[in-house]
Amino acid sequence: MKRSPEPNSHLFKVLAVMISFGVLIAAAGVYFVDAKPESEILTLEEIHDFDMEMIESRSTIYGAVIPMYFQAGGNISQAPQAEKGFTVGELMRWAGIISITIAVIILLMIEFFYKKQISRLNYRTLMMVGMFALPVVVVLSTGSTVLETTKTVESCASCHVMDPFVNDLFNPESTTLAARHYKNRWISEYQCYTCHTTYGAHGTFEGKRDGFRHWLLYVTQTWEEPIAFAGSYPNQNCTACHGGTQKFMEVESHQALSQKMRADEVSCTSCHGPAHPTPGEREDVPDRELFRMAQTVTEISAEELTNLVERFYE
Amino acid sequence: MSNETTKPKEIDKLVRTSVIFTMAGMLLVLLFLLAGFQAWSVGLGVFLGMPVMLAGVGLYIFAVIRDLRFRKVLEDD
Repeated sequence: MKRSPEPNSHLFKVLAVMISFGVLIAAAGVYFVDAKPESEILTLEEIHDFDMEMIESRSTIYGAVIPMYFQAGGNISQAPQAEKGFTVGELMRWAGIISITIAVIILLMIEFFYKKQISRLNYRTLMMVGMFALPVVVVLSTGSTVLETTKTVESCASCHVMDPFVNDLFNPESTTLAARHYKNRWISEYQCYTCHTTYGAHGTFEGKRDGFRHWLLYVTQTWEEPIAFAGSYPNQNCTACHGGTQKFMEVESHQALSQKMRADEVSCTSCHGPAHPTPGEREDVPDRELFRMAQTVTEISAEELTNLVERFYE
Repeated sequence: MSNETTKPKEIDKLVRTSVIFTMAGMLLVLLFLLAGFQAWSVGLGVFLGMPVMLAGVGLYIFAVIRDLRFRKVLEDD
């Protein structure tokens, strides 16, 4: 006896109501997400040891607001405290949250509660939605969220071993490259990522591999002290901004060292100073470890540099 | 007769398992999306949740292909 399929309208009504309700809640959350009182926001100031009274510090960590800062006439008190507006990254993140909510509801309903009450066609259609369409959105959303959040200084600072390096950014007396780039706004946002573009989610395979290894060492608490950068830091990370500029080209030693710099045989930091506090400057490094630190940058002596410049201009 | 009824039951079990895997993976990913970028949330959500979710989807595809083969839909006439 052929049984004609009978769509269960009750199930769809329930699903439609729940999904609509969920979307309304998510939309309301989107518009009110920035209205959270400042006292409830756990800022980096409450976690790390640096002065967050400066609004520029907060605005730099959470995103670029330099144009808005200048629009406020350079008035620090009027500079916004965090990036406003709805970015594509935030949109994708909320798309993922909504998709997961809807998918879990659908799968629960059709597999565990209403399986025998709905037609096979409706069951298969909803399974396609819950097991294919929505997981695709979730994958895209998660990928986008990872790529966006790993750009922020906050993501680097989420691991407390990075405290000395993040604190140094905001130290007004520090002369490291990172601190100078921050204080002078040479990099307006995503300071860590802008220099370390070859590391982590955005970087090369080596960077991704190192990022995963660092995460594993951190969660298992098995990293070795003192922390030293053991990966590669190509000069391209510096020359991406500085290379080819008139000031860069006017320096004789840059011309003389151009081949060595392109081959990463000499590092920019060998002349321009350390990018971050050296182990000797960090309070977390015991003295005995300072003697065991391996050199991680290629340095060139002043004599060799002078010889190279002279030979270049002969 | 028993073979004809066993196959759909096996496939139903596969589908149910895949649904459970997918839901579990999605809930772990939801932790990451809600909590933000933290060491623990990246571990649970991205490194554990995504593979579990994708395993569930893969298992569902496998169940669908088995079902189609059982019903002889994929065979040439």
